[in-house]
Amino acid sequence: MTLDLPVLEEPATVELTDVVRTYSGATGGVRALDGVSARFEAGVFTVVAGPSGSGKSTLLRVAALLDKPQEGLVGFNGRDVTRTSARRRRALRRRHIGYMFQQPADNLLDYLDAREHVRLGGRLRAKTGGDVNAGAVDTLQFLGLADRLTHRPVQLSGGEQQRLAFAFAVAGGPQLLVADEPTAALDHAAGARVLEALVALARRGLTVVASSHDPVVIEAADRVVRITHGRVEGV
Amino acid sequence: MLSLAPWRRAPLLLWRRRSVAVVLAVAAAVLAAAAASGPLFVSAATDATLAGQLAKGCQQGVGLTSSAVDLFHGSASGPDPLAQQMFDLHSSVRSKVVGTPAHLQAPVRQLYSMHLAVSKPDASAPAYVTVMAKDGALDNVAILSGSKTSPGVWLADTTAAAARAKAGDTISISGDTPGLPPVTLPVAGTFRDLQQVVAGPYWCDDLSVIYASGNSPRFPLMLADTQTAGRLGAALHLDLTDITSWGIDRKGLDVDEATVLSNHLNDVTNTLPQAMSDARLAAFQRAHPGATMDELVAFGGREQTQTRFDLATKRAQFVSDVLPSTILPITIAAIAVALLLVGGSASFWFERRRREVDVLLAHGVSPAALGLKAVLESVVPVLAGAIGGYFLGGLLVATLGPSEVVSARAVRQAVVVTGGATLVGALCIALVAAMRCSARERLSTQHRSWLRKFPWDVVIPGAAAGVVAAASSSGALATNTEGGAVARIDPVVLIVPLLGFLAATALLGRLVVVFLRRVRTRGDRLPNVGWLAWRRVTGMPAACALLIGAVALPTAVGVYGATVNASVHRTLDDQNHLLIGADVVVDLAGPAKVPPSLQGKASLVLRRDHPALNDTLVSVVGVTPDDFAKNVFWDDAVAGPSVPNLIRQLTDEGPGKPLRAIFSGSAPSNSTLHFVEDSSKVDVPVNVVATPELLPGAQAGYPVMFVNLTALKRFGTHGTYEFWARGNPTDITAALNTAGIEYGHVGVANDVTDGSYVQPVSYTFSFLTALVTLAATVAAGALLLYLDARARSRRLALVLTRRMGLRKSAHLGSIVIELAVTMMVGIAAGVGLAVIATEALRSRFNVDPGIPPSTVLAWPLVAVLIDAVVVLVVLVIASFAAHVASERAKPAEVLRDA
Repeated sequence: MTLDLPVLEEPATVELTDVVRTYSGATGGVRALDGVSARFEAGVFTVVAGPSGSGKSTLLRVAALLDKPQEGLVGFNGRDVTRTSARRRRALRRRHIGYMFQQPADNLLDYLDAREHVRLGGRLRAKTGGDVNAGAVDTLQFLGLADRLTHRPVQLSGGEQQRLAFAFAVAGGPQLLVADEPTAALDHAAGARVLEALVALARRGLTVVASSHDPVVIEAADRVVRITHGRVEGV
Repeated sequence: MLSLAPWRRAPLLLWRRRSVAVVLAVAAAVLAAAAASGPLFVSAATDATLAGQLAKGCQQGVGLTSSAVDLFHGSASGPDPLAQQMFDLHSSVRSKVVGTPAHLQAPVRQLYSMHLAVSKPDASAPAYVTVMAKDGALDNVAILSGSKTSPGVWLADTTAAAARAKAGDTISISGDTPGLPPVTLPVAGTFRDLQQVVAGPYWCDDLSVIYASGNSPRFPLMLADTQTAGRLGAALHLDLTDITSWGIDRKGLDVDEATVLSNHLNDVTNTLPQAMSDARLAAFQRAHPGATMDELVAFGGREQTQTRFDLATKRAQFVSDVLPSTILPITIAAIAVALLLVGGSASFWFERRRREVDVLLAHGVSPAALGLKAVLESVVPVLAGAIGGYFLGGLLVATLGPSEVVSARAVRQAVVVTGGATLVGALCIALVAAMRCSARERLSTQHRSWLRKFPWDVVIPGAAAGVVAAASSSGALATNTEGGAVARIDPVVLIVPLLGFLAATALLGRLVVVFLRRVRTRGDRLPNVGWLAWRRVTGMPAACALLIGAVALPTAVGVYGATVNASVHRTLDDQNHLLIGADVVVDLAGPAKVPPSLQGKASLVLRRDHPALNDTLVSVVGVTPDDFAKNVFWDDAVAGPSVPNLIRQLTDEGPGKPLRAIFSGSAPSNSTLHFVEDSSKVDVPVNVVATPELLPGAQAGYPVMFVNLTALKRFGTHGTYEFWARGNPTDITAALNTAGIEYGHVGVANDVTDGSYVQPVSYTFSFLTALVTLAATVAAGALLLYLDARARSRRLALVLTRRMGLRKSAHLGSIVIELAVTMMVGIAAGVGLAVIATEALRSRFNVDPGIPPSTVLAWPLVAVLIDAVVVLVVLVIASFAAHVASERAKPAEVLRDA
């Protein structure tokens, strides 16, 4: 079975230019991103790779408009959204961006079952009705969750939770999917299925960005951005 | 779940987070209790004042008294049918005009006439009686013989003995009007003469008829029914007095109902005399066509109607008007604190929903929508808490307030205020949840603006306290209206400390957090028990600061409130006693010995008002020093030397020596007292041995000078002899009556101000006490949350340290130390704040600063001690429970979790 997603008519492009992001801690400031520039194209599966603490998650959060740099520019579809209002960033996230946290359970609401998660994703992107329901079932079937439609997160394994998180993130058809270590908590088979889904999304024109240091994921990527100590080491 | 409507889904969601639901419900309950208790308390206090006013004096006529005097006075010779007719119409007119309003008891009618002669037909000497007919009279005397169903009159045993009559005999009864034949009636029975016993409360209105007063003798009662008394009045042309009294049914009577009833009774007092007069005149003119009102007046039966009820109602209403000025700020402060609690509960909701919030924020859901979500989820627990809190507020007022009765209006107000506060609480939940979500959404690296760093929690209440204190020029102390005067505590005395305590507690919390963070790495030299406790206390500085604040705030408010309340009462009590001089001062007709029953409790003094000491008019009081020093009032807390000790210096130096004196003013030690004795000027050399600022007994308004009585008598014996006594005025006058000592005015210190004078102050602080009790309950809840928050680390610590050889008792000891240190710091801080506030505002505790002494502080040491013991007990129980809970943990599970 293949994931039958529509080809995007308005693909998204995200561009970071000389982004600096510093965290203040008890022992002083930590420069998580130190002048990072990167471009994430539509229809391309990009993996941000690097060791732990290199700034991968921060880069993804900035790209997903969940975080704001102190310096540099963030462009979304050619428009500078670095200083845009919280309301506008929120609207962009709701309509165009799907995000997956690293821990599967962190992506889910414990009182919704699998199908309701996908329907909620659709609702948040202002898509309602039968197509959302049908799409939800298709997505879940593709991800091997056809017999888990009415299960809540606590009744799912870690791999199933991550696949559901994926379904939740892409429900309603975002233009950009950002996934933080999407296969880190999964076994090989489950990881492979999520990876296959990511690639399929990219092939349909979605901009897919994931962080990982898993060689399998890096192997599957169209493009790899290597980052170390908050700096891009190579593309 | 998603198919459900949000308002149906939300309650189900919180059902999965029961701890959050409980916290929200408790916070809402505290908020509702604080809001509801204000109006309910004012109503209860007003009702208590009304009940207190109505309980004063006799109950029978507390509602309304309608009396007609000199009935049958102008009757024609022989039985007069007109007089009988007019006698009969009294009841019907009174019933018609008065009606049967709610809470007015059924009328009690009584007739009496004094000085009737009673004798057996064969006896030579009559016995004199007062004939009385009163509903229920036979149920309120001790019947010695006869049957209640027998016809005739009832004689007191003393009358029966004097007339040699017994039940079943026939007696003849005659009045003062000459030429009328006596009436012969059977004796139905005898009863114990009320003059020989203490009459019960039923006879309260009739004491002036039963007992002699001054030179007016009184005769034993002869009881009859109304018809018999009326027949006697008509036959003997008696100056019969006809009284109908209505008491008040106080059960469930609130001030609003009382006001309605009072207005009705006031109308009755205006209309009843005229209605009675019209009815009587009509009847009179039917018998004597063309007769005038003057002729009717001469005929007798003047009508008087009066009510005491309106005074009681006005007094209660006055207290009701005064109270909100102090209850309102307390209620607002309590609501503010409760809203902080509600905000805390919303924050707790956020903490338990953090993961979900992150997901929804990542999906672009706005903080405002999440705030709305918080409110929708909170609806059921908040509503349940609000309803529970409303009843909790009612329970607080009923158990700790002055009365259980509240008016329907107060209930409506309480419901509205509670509803409003709950709505505000819901808004608060939405706001706090939205703010927390917004902060979560914002970037953690953004530098917090000075607005967010500024200690608003300290500065706002602190500045508000300063502004209120500065804006208030003087305390509003007492108010006069037609309801009289009452003491009213200065609002500043309440508002400033409450705000100040809030600010100081917030500051304390911040300082504790800073301090604990700085000293966290110290304590290595402590023994294991102390080290464990130290690490726990310093490991969660915010939780520790919260617990300290939760203990300090109610402690400060409680100790301060109790201090102010006790100080106001003590100061007023001292002022009254200093004015009178002793508990009771009785003016005597002449010199008298202290009766045996008052030995050691009373002292004879001779008072001479307005002689001149040099050029100053004074009140000279001659005393017997040792005896007087025991009975004169003095409070050692009043500034200045001990007056009893000074009095003991007033020895009699013997003839020719100056009079030793202590004087409440300035005078040289060698002074001269000038007065007139038997038309002769007398100059007495005086040796002023002490000049304290205050001396008791300045009733006449002149400075007081105490001298030795024996020495004073050597120069003159004119003046007023008085007994200055300690104890109850009733007992003291009873002792004087028994000893046959004639006396006049009785000055009683406790009667200087009406009992309800300080009620608003007492009520205000009892309300504060109720809320402090609520706050203490919250503090206990905070302790439980604190323990709960530490449960995991405590279990881990126990499991690990047990494996390192630490004894169980050491673990228990560490918990005791941890809690003891925290709570004791809270108590110490609370007491310290209370002391500071008391000392800063003590001058405002004086209800009437024009009267000495100035404020006398009364520290509630016993209450503080009890509080400390209660805290100690809670501490031990909580420590033991926490230790037992930790011990129940399975080490394998704990270590795996760790």
